Amino acid sequence: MPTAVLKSPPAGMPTSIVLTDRTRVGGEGTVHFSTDGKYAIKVYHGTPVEREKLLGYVMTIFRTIPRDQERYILPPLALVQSLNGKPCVGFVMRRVEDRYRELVDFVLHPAAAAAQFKQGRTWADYLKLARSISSALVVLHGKGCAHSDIHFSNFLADLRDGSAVMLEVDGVVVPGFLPAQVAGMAGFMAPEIVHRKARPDERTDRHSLAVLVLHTLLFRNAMQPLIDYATDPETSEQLGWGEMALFSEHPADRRHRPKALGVPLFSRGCLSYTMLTEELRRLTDQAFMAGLRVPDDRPTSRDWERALACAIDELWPCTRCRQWFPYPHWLVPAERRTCPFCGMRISPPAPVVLRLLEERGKTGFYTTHRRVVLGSGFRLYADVVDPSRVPPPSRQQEGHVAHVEWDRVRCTWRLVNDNAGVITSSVDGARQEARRGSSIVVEQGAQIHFGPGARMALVVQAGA
Amino acid sequence: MTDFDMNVTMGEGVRRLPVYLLLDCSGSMGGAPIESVKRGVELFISEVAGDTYARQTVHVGVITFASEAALVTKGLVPFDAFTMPTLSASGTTALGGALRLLRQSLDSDLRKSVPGGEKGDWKPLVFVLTDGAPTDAWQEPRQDLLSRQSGKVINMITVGCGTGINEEQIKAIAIGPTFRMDATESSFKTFFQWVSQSVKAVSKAVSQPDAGQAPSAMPQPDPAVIQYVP
Repeated sequence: MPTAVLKSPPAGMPTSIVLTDRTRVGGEGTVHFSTDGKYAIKVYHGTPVEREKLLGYVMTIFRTIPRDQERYILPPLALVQSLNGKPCVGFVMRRVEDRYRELVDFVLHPAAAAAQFKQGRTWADYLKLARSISSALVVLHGKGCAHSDIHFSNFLADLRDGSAVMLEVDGVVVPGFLPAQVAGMAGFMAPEIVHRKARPDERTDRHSLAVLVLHTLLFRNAMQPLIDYATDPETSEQLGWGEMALFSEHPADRRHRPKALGVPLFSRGCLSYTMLTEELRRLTDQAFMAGLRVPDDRPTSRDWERALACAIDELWPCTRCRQWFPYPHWLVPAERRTCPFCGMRISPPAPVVLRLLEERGKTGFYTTHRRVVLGSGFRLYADVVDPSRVPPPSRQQEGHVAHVEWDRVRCTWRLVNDNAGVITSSVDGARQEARRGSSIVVEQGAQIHFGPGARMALVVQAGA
Repeated sequence: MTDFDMNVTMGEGVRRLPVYLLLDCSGSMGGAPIESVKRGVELFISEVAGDTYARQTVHVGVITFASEAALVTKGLVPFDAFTMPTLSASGTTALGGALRLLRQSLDSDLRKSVPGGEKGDWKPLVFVLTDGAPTDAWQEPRQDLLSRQSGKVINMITVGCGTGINEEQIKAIAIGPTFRMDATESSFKTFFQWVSQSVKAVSKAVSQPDAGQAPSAMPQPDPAVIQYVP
């Protein structure tokens, strides 16, 4: 059995690791797996001794990360000093369970996503996946590092719980401190990297992250050039992703606009970013238009993480194809609201749409970007009314303050209080109140209060 | 949802990677060799099918040559539409005819890159497998391929198999690197594994920044089985 010997491993880690015969050969090195299923080790090709010093820095950077962030990345835990008695340069990392697959298998094109949908996965799972990807970058950027090689083969994903793990953390970049080891993958690199005007840093990561998030949500590269810019394909690709980079849904320049854009995905169509929540659309505009050539204007990983987390509250199911998608409350008249997957018009009763407001000092409430879409049996979770929180990655343990029921007699939605406090609703001077177990009628324009210190909700669509 | 009819695409704007297999089906390939080639093509199909990148970009053209040469795929077909061709061995070795068909297909099936137009193709990858000397005129079609100005350059690899190979001659026919191997079942398997690995590596490489270096992304064959002819 092959064996790797570690260099002064931290407490709790063995001094040597027995490996299986299975390996994965990559561009930089070979990854081996321990027989106990706990660890993976990466051994670099050759013996790049200078790499060892850099790994030491990376280990120091990631020695302390909060427990809830550990799952998103695979930092080096200890150096490997020899493999089968031969000196080598490498490191040990946590082993990812076999249930994970490369993200590319799920998101490369609509056919890859359809294969997952056929197994019962939905777009809501992709939304969670996109959030996990952003969270991984939040961890890195929070440490002052950039990844520099963000693309869909550098994430392992499990769509069943929407979790993702970032690979190649050993190659992180800290400007002026840790240099970039790779330039990145075509299609994901920021335009200024493609035409060699910049070196990878956190701002170029922001572009790659936006591409990856949109790829995960739309199953296509939102910056994909659709025309040639030179007779030589290599030169053409360089220009198309670099100097001529252009958002596929640029309102004024339609050169990269897919032919099937906006056609329902399940009719050989192509998803448009206009299906996304208002906040995700705003970030996309910021990343691919305002910030395309102004790196400082690009949204941060934290912006994406937050917007993706909150988008989960705006989903609505299609009664025909059973997909979930952000309810397009912004489309008027309501007849224009259709399922982006199968094209079916959204059938009545229309859901309740709430806009969340937060208290600011003594000056009263101000509106946030957040909306909540509610239908029959939908719960209003405790995190929604807590101004310090965004939806957690999983709500299995999360309590709820209310739920929504359809009132057949009055043909209105009712909000049922499931909490100890009192829920009040007021509109045009009329006031309703509900204690635990009782309910209020959801009325257009009403302000709903969930108690002192809680977020308030404004009913922007009473539904029905 | 599982029973809902999902008519979906592989996306737009992806540059195609044309892959041509020129397979010798002359009489001397009869018996075990042709059976090994069939299994080899099946191996190629299953290997590429398992690779997400390759499956999206690879388009296949198969040209067989015996007394006549034939483009059995009738053109360049998307990988997902490519099915196992019928292969049988008989007759002579019209390699010249195969090169002529390759040129015709390159002229008619390859998409050229025109600035402002829809995306053209990547440089094609061509694998030639033969077990003997050509029985038709190959010099002119070879010269035509070489002097083809209108299209892209190609990456061509020629492998001679079995004892009937004349290294000097195969070197003279080949455009690009030349190899030789024996005609055992395991050698054919190694050859098609190498073809599959090369196609996967190149399809991934064209997704990388320095796409112009695509050929260098190709793995070298196992020298114990497939030897380079200098």
